[in-house]
Amino acid sequence: MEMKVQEITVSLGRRVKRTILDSVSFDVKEGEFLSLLGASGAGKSTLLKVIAGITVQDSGSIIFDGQAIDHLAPHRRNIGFVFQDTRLFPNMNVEENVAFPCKMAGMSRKERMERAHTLLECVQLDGFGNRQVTSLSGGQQQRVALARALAAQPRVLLLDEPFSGLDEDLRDDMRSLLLRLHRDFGTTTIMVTHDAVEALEMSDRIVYISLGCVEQDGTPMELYAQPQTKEIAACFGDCSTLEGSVSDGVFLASSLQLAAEGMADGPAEAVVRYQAVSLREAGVDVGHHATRRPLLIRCSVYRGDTHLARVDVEGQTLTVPAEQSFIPGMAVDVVVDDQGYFIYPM
Amino acid sequence: MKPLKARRIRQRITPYLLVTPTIILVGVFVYGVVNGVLQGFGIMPFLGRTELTLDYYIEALNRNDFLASLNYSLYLSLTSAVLALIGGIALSAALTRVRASRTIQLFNIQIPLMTAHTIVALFLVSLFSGSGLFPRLLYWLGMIDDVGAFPSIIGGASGWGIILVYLWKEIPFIAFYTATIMMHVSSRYGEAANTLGASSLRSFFSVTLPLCRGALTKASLIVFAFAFGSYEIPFLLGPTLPKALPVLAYLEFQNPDILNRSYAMAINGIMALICCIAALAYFLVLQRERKERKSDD
Amino acid sequence: MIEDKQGGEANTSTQPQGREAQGRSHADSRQIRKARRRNHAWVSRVFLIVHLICVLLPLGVIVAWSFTASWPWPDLLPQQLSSRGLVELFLSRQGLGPVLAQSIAIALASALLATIIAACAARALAFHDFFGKELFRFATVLPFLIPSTVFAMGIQVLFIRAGLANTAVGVVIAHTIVALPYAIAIMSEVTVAAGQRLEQQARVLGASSLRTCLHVQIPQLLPGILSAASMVYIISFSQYFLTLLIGGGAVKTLATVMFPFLTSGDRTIASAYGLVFLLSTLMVFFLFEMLLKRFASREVSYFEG
Repeated sequence: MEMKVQEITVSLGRRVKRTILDSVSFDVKEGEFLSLLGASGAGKSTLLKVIAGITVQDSGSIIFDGQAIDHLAPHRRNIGFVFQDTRLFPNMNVEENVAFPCKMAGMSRKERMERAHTLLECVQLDGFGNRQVTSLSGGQQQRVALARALAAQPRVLLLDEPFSGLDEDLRDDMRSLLLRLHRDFGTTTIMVTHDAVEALEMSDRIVYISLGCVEQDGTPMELYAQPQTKEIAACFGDCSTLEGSVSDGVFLASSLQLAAEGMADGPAEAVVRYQAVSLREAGVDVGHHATRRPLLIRCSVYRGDTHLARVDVEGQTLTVPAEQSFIPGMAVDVVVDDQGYFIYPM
Repeated sequence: MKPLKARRIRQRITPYLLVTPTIILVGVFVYGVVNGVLQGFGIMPFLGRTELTLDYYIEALNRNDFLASLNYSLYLSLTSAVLALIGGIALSAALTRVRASRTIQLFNIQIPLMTAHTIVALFLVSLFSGSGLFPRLLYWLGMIDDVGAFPSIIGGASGWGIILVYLWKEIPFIAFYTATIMMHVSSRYGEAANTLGASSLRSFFSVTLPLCRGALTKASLIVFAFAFGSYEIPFLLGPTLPKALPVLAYLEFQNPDILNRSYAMAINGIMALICCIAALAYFLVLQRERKERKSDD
Repeated sequence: MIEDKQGGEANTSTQPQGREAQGRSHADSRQIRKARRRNHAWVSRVFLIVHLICVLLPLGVIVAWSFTASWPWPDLLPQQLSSRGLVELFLSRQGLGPVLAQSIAIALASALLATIIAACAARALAFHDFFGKELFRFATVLPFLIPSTVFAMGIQVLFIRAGLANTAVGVVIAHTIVALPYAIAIMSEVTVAAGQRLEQQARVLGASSLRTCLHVQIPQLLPGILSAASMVYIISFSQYFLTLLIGGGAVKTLATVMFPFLTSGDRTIASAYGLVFLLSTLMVFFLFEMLLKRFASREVSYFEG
């Protein structure tokens, strides 16, 4: 199904109105896996609830296949929703939970039991139909919730941080299960997450939301390679943020200088990915490096596969992966790969 | 080693210290009830009687006025409990649906909770007695002609005056007891059911209500036991015959003849027995909820 | 299968139609949303309003009666305002003042006693394992379900022999017993909800158990403490039968003094009693509400920060 989110605005709070979403718009293509990425409190979950019809927007529209569905209550929208806390009904067993949406859709008992059986097989839980939901582990519960959401062949599958309650090793299994289901069923899917790496791994497209506004809308590669804001650049982790200023197309923080072509003069911030930086012993000349004069090592930490050297940039820290550990106080020159840093005006 | 042992002992006796005052008070309560029941068996040591006899219980069960009273009391309390349950569910659901503010809850729940049953009896008298507001209204509408034309609620054998008092009090009580749970369940599971295609009404009946069953059962048992065992309202608004059981029991209790006292206690014993069944049901619900909570963790 | 179905739907809604739908949705989106918001909620609203009328109408009638000298049949509104009822209550008869004071004192004492005892019991039930815990849990429920009339008639002899009959102390004890289950139920809920996290934190920061109680537990449990106390206060204040049997006429409370007048012919006096009674319970309720607001609002700002 094709979906449009048009200028959705939501403010909540009885006395003090707080704007949660401010004119959010984007499109979702047929069969696409879209992630809503952003820090917690950015309004992603609220947006998902607006799409589901649980929260009513102040203005704007949700359009399914060219038809506005703003007047429809949640149960008439034919959606699947997976909550972070699963919300399996404790008064029903696993099978009844999965069959519930089919029952609501008016399927016969035999039909919906068959459907529940098929879906439980899809999530590798065949034989669990008669179990009580409270007897399941967290991962199993989440799989039942997924099966239940897909049972009535929803037009769109909405997932609200579906894996954040699970252990790390389970999360990978669940991710591949979800991707497989998405491939098999082809259901248009929107997933809310604050885990940027998860979003990169799973999505066809990512919409980045910050403080209730869309900051960037693009493929995972676009977001990683051309982040539009400092927050997006930093959200993938393993990066240093340095404050400085731009003059004549060059960003300068202490003696570190980075090319900033086409940027207006003034204070600016640079986000530098760890992997884009390497160290040279001071004085050894290897072509161009980014430092006017050598910087000092503050300390170095061990991280298993690599060492991380913390370089002092006038009180700020630039972190650099290194083969070996460095002695504090050592003078170094820094080389920065021009694909691996981003500069934004402050 | 020694200080450790001292701490371990202290930690082990803490709960017993915490429950002691409650045990003493509940002990007094149980003593009172058991003492009453024993007096029904003719055991009254303070009068030098220690022989156990079933005479009073047999007498009670054979007396027509007792059986009529038992029937009447059961009718009053069961009707009140069932109607209060239905009304309580509706009120609780309405409060949940409109996400009631504190002010709404104050007026719809807190004020009835705070008002004594005896005052509610006064309300009923002011509204529905022969010269109450309601007959006046009917008179103005031309539906009755005179003061006496409206059936009095005082002394009516149908007991609907009594039942109305209980409903006025206990519908908000049941809502008070269940609204918090219902709001929680509805915002969690009701919402999930909505996204799965259930209409509000359907998700209420298939998910929210079943999940509130425990609290609703407990609340209605309390209402039943209260309506069954309270003296004030049937005394004020009840008919001369049949008397509600507590009224009958107190009448016999006040009789100077000590034999009547034993008879009163036999009535109390039977009342206690019926309420014990309610208590057992309550306890079973409590145990089931505890198990569910445990398996949740 | 799903793809088929969705494909079909996508085909039927061609682009122009879609545009049209969007335009319409912008034009009257407000109304659509309003309609959806109201969807079924009006039934609930109407029900709440009807219920509210059922609650407030009799209150109004009582207030009207207590300030009326005469309200002859079949007038819908009282004819004459008068303060006869309240004046008679407090001045001409032997004076309601002392009775009222005693009722309030007994109710406050019961509230204090029951809340403290209930807080201890709730703590034991929430955080400790001990011998006979389930039996204890059951025992605390008993006064909920076994009628206080049965208890009152059975315990009278014991209270007479213990010298507690016909004393205010005896009445306080009896009231505390019948109100205890309510207090324990409320305290259990808040104690379980509060958990032991903050308390353990305070202990490892060096607070003694007394200071932990004072600075952490009581503030944390305050909403529950106040609601338990106000519940017990109301139960105690409303007791008629128990007070009559234990107090034996020597201990007069508003509930016992008022009782004979409730169904008597003098509606003005009865309503005046009712009004005084309602005001006395409301007053305490609002006092507790105020305390709660004052202390709880401070607490909220801790957590929001």
